[in-house]
Amino acid sequence: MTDGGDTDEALMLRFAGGEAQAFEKLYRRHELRVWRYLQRNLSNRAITDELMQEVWFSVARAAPGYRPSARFTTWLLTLAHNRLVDALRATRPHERLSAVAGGSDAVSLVEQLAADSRTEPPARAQSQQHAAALFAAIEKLPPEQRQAFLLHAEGDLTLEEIAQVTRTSFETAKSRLRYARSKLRQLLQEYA
Amino acid sequence: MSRADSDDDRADELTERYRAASAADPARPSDAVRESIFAYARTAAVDHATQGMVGAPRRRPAANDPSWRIRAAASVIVAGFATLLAWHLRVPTPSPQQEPHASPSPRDAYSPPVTETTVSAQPSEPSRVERRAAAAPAPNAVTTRSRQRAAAPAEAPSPAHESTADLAMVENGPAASSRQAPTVIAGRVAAENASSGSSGTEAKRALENSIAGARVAPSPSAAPPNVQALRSQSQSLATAETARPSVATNSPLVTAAESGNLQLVDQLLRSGISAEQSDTRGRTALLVATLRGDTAMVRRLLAAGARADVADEDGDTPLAAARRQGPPELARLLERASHP
Repeated sequence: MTDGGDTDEALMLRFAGGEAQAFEKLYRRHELRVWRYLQRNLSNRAITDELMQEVWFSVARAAPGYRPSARFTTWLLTLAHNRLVDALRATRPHERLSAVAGGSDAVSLVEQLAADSRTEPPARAQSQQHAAALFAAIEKLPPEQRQAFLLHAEGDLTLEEIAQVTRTSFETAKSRLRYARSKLRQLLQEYA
Repeated sequence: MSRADSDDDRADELTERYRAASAADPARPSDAVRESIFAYARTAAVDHATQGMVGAPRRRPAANDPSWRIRAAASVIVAGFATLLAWHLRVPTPSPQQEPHASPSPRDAYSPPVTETTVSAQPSEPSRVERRAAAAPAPNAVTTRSRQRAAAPAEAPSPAHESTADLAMVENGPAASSRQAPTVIAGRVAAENASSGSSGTEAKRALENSIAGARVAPSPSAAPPNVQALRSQSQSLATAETARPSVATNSPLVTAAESGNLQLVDQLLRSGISAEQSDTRGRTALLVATLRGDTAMVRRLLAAGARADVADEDGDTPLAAARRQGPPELARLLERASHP
């Protein structure tokens, strides 16, 4: 990814040489990508912020040894995915999604979007309802399918990159993404 | 269909809907999270810059850099000088292998003072007595030195008054007791030889052995003689010293056996001297005679009760020496004596 002439890899190498501004530029470029991937998997803002810091701390520490052998986005989302898996393993199953620290942010978002739609113009309100329905459907996906879909839709990764990040085979990643899409369509029809 | 062309890889309508909805989502990480990350990154950037500055000189020189040859040559030269310096400053070690040539060795410079009899020319070739130094000890050998150590309290040097008494007894001639007899006989034989001028070296060696026997009293049968008289006789014989190898001994019998004088050996044995008397290196007369290949002397010593299994300091026994160097007749003779 380039922004202002600097690739991600070039910024990373400059930061490894001691240029802090390169890191800030890199962070702003990928901030939402990482944060949303974590947040839509965890549905908990506090844990998401904590993991967000851990991921970028890891990036800062690993900079001297970084070699641009793969796309920076793939490497970054691999760090985020590993942190996510660790957090999910540390959390009991019934606490994974929304029971931690005051309820589900995704449900709140859906409710907020639904509430806002009552005060917004009809076209925008309909769009917000569709978004809320989509986010709610993503939350209902199995974790592996949700991760595959988010890595593809949010991280813009290919199937091979998804397989690399999740440490699975290409066929497995392909199946997970296909089942995720099928499930989402089914859920969205129910909302409709 | 290749992996790159997979339909699942392309963004479908569902993906586009997600991206549109996500872009409209106002949710963002808090500013506190962002600031903490930036603060950590600034600290890390300083560390990276420091490590880069420190790590730069650590670059190893390339193998084709010619400077390593200069450094290697300098190291070799310095090591050589250090070795030479250490060689010159080291203390010479008394080791015969270091100076195999005839030139004076450091060992000679550190040798203790020796008497006239021992400052003789070195033998041009090793004698048979010296060649047996590498012989292995017999399995059932009983060393003479060990027996002497065990009997040490009984063989303590005689007091001085005994020497005075012995002097009077020597002067009395035939009245000498059997305890002084061997030494007296040796002294007389030496005096006879000196007067006849036939073999001054042998006579002097016998006298020196008598003197040594008087000093240390190695066995009860060798009583101290008139030391002063014998020493004066030895000095009178110094001019007759020839260039023959000298062996430090303190036993007249061993000396007589080494000289091959069967008559003297017989005379000493008749006087009552022990056939197992040994010299300072633990060699018995039987061992010396065996090494000489003197069958007649071996027969005489065996008849006097000499044992064929007594080993010297090197572990060599008469029987082993005979088996090693022959003649076979001598070996059989000693075997029969060992297993009667």
